[in-house]
Amino acid sequence: MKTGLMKWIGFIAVAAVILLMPMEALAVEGTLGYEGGISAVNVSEDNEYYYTEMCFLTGKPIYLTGTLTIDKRVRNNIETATYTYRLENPEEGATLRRVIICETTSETKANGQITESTRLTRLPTEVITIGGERYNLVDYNFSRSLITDPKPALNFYAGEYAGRKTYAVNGNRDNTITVTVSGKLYAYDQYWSSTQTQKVRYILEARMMGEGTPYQWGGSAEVTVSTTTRQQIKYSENEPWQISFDGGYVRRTWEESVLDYVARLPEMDSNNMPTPVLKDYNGRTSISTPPVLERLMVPNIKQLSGHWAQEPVSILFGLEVIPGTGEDYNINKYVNRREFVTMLMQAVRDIPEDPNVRTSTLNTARNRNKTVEVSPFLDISVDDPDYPLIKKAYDRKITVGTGYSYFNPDQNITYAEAIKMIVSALGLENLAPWPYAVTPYVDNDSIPTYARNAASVAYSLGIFQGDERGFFNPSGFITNEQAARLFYSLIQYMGDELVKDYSDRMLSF
Amino acid sequence: MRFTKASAVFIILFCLILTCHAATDSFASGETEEAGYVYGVVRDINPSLGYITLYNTDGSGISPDTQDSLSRNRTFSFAYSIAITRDGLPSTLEAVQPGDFAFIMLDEDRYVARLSVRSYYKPLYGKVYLTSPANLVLRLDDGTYRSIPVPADVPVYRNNRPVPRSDIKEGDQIRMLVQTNGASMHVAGIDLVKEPKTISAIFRGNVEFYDDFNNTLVLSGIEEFVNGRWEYSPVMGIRTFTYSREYRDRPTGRISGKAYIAVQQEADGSDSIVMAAIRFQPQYEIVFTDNILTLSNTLRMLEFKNSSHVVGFDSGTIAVKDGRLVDISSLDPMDPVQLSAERPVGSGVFVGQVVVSNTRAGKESLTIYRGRINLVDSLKSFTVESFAELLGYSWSFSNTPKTFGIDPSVTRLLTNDGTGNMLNFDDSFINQTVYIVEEGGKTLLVSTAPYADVPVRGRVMNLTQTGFRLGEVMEYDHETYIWESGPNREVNVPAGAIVIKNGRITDISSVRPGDNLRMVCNSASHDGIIIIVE
Repeated sequence: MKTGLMKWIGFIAVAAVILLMPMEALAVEGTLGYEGGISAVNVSEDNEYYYTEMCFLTGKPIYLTGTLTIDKRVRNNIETATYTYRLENPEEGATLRRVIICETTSETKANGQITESTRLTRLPTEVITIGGERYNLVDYNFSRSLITDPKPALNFYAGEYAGRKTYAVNGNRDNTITVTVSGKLYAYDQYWSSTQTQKVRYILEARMMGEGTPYQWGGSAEVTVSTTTRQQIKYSENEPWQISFDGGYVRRTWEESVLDYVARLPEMDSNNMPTPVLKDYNGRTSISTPPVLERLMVPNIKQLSGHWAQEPVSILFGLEVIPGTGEDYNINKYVNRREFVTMLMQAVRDIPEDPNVRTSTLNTARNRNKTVEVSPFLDISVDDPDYPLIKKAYDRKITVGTGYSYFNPDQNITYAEAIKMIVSALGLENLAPWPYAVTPYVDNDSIPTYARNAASVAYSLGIFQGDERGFFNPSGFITNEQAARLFYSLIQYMGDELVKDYSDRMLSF
Repeated sequence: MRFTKASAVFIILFCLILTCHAATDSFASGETEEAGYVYGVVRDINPSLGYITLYNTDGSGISPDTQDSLSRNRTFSFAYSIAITRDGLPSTLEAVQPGDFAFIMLDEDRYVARLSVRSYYKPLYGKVYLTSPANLVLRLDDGTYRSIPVPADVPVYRNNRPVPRSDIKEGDQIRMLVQTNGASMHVAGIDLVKEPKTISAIFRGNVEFYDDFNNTLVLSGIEEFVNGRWEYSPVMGIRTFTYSREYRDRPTGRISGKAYIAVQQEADGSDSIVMAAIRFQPQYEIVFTDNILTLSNTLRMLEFKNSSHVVGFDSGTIAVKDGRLVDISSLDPMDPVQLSAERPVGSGVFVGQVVVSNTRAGKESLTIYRGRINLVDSLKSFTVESFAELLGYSWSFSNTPKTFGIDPSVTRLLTNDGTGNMLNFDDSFINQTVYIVEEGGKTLLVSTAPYADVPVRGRVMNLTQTGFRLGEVMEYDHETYIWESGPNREVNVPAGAIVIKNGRITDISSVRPGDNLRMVCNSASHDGIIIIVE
């Protein structure tokens, strides 16, 4: 009896460990689904999104709008995602009901990249009704692959998917519309903004064989969808004069999705029969969530009142990138390595986790038996208040110290070191030629080789473009003001420029 | 003897040192020069003189004191015949550009035997400020201007399809793939935006306030500049306009006066401000239509062909050409313009608030014919026994047959029931009178709309269920050859009507209140059969 009970307890414990084992959580990628639609989170319903997609089955583009519910569960390292769509377009008399269940397996490669592969577990259910015509999904092949490249401050994603859907019209399998889908997706996740963009190409082939004269038609469409979570910081001035602090900054966070399509479809005549004329259609629609507001701390930096760097410094204090409350902040003081790395780690922050994945941690004996923490640097003890951030920077390969296991925390940081760390945090050093780029700075030849590619990339990204004479000044020390400018540029880059590259420009070109 | 030995050892050592020194001079560290394998960023390439120069492997080689060393150690001559690849594809020496990263295999005589390069183009985004045959001047996102040499052979694409260079218009957003190396810049290609963002409207209104938090300008008493006139907006009271993210100027402090704004339609259908100027309430204002005679950027003045007005412009002048927001210097002499200008108190010079030029108005290169069909070769061609061509407001008859080709993917059919099907265009259409719209010998449209012979002009007052209400009506009297004013009227637009706007065939949905129309109507029903938006 006792043995049996112990066996059961053991089995349940093992099962619980397997079932509840946390998986690599991937944040925003996936919230659009893979049907060429856009979504924005519905804050009042768990796992529910406002959703819009295009339907071309009738030979004319039709918007379908409604909700998408995403439920992701992880079991045995396999993620099972259920996408439930409830969409309609009352003006066109159209409704859509679709349930897709797919499984994703992932594998972490030796270099830390994660590859994913997705397949359908069974034939999805999908019924579309438009103007009295009923389109039933009778066949669906779908495959998706994705690679995630985790970098210190961002996760980059690139992937593709392909599929082929066959619909029977009005229940007649002789009347079919086949939609071949191929899509590419690009995404990134990070604290200041996140974007996923898909470019989906559709090829439609309709074969109407039953009832009356047989006919066929074909068309194509390209849909670009993009969703972005972004932040904006606005200054809010105080109206009363007798108030203990100056006006402050407010952070607005919101989500916006844009769908852009171009289609070439046969023009339909007044009897709804296809004509040989190919008609070009294009259009755009969007969904957005109302902004969420958050007040930032108002620092006490009276010593900078009217200073040209007051705004970035004030915002960075408010965002807690610069530590403290500002009273003793000296804008001209040189920044040492310890200060710079802690500020950098506060600027890049941790990558948010996927809200749709159900994960939990189990307090296992293995987790409880913690190993003794050993600092990677001889001159930074584990009791150092900045140790966690410096260790995190080391773990993420943002810094490796100054050699011989020393970090030299009190040494003033140079431009070469600072720019190298910033670009390493972004993980974009590969944008420059291997092994060493030629930078556009006047003093290119004096930039140490370890920082040359980072300097080139920082220039291209607009994070740092040298002084007003075009010099990089690699061994120059960085003051608090210059550090504030760098971090402000970095946050602006992560908040705005990346969005432009991944969303605005992909939608426009 | 010992001295001789010592001398010999010294000489050998000296030779060794010399050899090593020569080796370090010739070969940059890290290269496996013995195997003839060299790599680095291309500094210079000259296919005619037959050499390529690389920067040092570590990326150095910019400073003047390294030039000599690069000439001696990093310059390589080409062998008689070499294999070249660029970005993995077979290529030519001419295609290799400074800034490329090159891998070189040298032969026994240290000539380049094999060359493989990878390009490092990066996208450069901007708005076209000026175009010329050899250059494009771009306004970059940061507000700076940059002139970029663009040779004639640089491909231009829209929607991933090649388009002619002439499709690049001032005011367009473009993406250039550029590779820079010092001062030199190579452009690999230009992408035009899928759908150029055009100005959807120009408004003016009294400034209520600027809502900094919501990034909106709140206006009252709003008027829209429609077809050369300020017309009151149907929205009563106050209306808000959000500033576009792409436009960075914002009002500061407390503001009042009259705001002139150009707006673009966003994805959600709302209008966002892409240009705004806040001015004092106009004291004396003129609104007129004319053609530009001269435009002086130095004096910042415009002179006109028909009017004696001299109108200045400033940084707040909203200039729109063919729907695109442009710098006013993009306007050319003889461009037709609709202009609103004011004369500030104490000044003798008008200052332009809004200058709108539409060089594509009317039917442009479209030709409209009418004729009775006497032969149909299905999906190939059809012939009319005689035809009339619409010239201005009247039909010019030719008593000869004319054959029109049918391109099934282009030629559309409009019938009295709406969109027809060219598949059904057969002998049953013989003896039917049709309208044909043709462009460059290509038949774009065949319409069976009813007979029309009454020329009418007017301005659209508002849209109705079946057409529009026309005001300021003028009817042409063929007998007296005089335009006579007529009463305002409802114009019904039948399904087969031909509507042309900006040189393109469109439909009634593109007609807007305020549009000036030229029509040919049916004499009995007054239905608009041919409608050309001027």
